[in-house]
Amino acid sequence: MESTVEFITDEEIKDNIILNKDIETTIGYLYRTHYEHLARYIQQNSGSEQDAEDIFQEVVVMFIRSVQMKKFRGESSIRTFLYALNRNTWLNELKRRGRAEVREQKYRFTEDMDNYGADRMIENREGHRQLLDTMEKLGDDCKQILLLYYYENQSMKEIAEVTHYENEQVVRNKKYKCLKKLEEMITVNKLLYQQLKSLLNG
Amino acid sequence: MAESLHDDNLVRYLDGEMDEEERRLFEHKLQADVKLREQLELLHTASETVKYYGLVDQVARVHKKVISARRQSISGKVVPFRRFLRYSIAVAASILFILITWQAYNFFKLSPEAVFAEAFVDYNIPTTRGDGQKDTTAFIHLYKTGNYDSLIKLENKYPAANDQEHFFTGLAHLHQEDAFYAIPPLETVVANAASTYKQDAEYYLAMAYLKNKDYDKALDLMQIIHNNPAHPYNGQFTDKYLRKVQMLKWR
Repeated sequence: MESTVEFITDEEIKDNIILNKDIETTIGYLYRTHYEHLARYIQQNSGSEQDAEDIFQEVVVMFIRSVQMKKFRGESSIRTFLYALNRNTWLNELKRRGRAEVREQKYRFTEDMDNYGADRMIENREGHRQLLDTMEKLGDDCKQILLLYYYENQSMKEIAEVTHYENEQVVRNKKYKCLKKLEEMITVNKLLYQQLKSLLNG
Repeated sequence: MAESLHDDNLVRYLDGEMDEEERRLFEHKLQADVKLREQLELLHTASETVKYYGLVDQVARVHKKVISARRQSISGKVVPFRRFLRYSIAVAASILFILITWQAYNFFKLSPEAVFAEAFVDYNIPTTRGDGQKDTTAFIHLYKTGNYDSLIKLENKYPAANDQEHFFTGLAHLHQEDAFYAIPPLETVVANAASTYKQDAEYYLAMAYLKNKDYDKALDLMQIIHNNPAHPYNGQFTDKYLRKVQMLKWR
């Protein structure tokens, strides 16, 4: 459950992410602290309010992944890193939309971006979209059971209580089938597989 | 069946459900089997895909809450301002209505007689005039004693021969509420730039015009007197007074 806190240090934010602790509170804090000025950048550079919202949402995901993969270790402040992520993601988006002025621009990342591997993350936005698309095709039941197990780290017993399955063994079998189904969806499309590997491994 | 067991072991290994002995044996197999390693990698990608999706989903939920709250907060800030604006307009409209009503009341309440009376001052005959002439003529005597009717009859019999006689004739007619006949003798005096009665005549001529409802002429002359701080009757024609005469003209 998200709660609002006055202030969280950069160090605490990193720790929360690595330990998978108070994630919603941390995400909420990132929004409250950084959204306004990052949104302003996008709106001052040909973007709408919707663009600013969408990009920031992506930026938060990329930031958390950077910390989880130990690519962002805190050499710069989180504020600086988020700003760079935001700016470069927006430039990438403009490039994707085929904006002429950006096509002529040589868009390159700062050294910091290279060090964090965030450049690949930004370039892998297509992989991000493909991933979301693939998961949506999985179906609600499989999505639920896999998320409860792999993302929320719930036990078979806890999952059985939350879902409509009779017992732990049934849950285990269902989870196995769903994972295999997802594996097949990934395997069938070699390009998708490569994109996902690139996105997930950084 | 074998394949199914194979897959099951892969998943158990991936999920960390093997005990130490099982894990050691399975890792030994993995080292020797490239295909097995590839399959494990595939499953690993699948599980990581789920974790990534979970993160995206969690961020999306927080995003929705925060953005929704932000939008409500922005629209909430607008409402008080709109309310303030509405009240301000209502207050301004009320004040304007009161002002207009008050002005309308004053406008319709205005009467030429009241406006005339407000600025009229009777002429005080000085003991001696600036030119040293003694004011002992019949015209002056009759005016001093308030015999305006007799003064007019005298003038009719013996038409005024100088500025003094013209001036008092004009004053007499004015006192008799006969502004129409006050105007010509006073105009005669005003026309003479050298006359010692000129400035007095200007004032009474302006009042005669006003009484006679010649508002344009009255305003022109009053404005001249108003614009001349040295004029003895400058204080009679203030801005406010001139506006009243203007309103009389519009009525």
